[in-house]
Amino acid sequence: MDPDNQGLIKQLADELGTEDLIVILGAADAEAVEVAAETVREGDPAYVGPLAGVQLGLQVFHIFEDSIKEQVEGSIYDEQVGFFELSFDTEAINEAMRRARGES
Amino acid sequence: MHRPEGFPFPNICAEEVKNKAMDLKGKKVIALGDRDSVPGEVIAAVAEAAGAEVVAQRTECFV
Repeated sequence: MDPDNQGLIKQLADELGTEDLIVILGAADAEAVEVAAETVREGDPAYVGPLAGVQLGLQVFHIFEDSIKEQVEGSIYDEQVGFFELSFDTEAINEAMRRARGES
Repeated sequence: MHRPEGFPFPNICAEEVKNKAMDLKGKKVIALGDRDSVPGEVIAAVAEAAGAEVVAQRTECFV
């Protein structure tokens, strides 16, 4: 994950606390998604950014996951995300998210 | 069913809380999009439609 974004997330977590803070990702590369999710939960695995060694333990989801999709009116979700869902391998991305959260 | 000492909700166990569906309403969301897939503003629009407060939105470039 971009060190600038790591810095932003760390700053927001410090200011707002971590309990109600949720990260939603939109990347389409499963490996990048898994690394990003790991970074905001366990810290930067590459040990180069501001989150190196910082375990924020944030909740993290991908915009393609049902847990996000089911909370939005279908027509709004389809209008905003439908095109992207058809363009990428959503199952590979969702599986990467489950791995990052230790669910599979 | 094991209940950790001091667990704040007497009628539910830790595992039940963990598995409870995440509710975006009232939560603070960081929308971290990608230039080559779903951008941050799309994620932010969806999160706001679900009742969340978007506290930051970014669109990364992995190239």
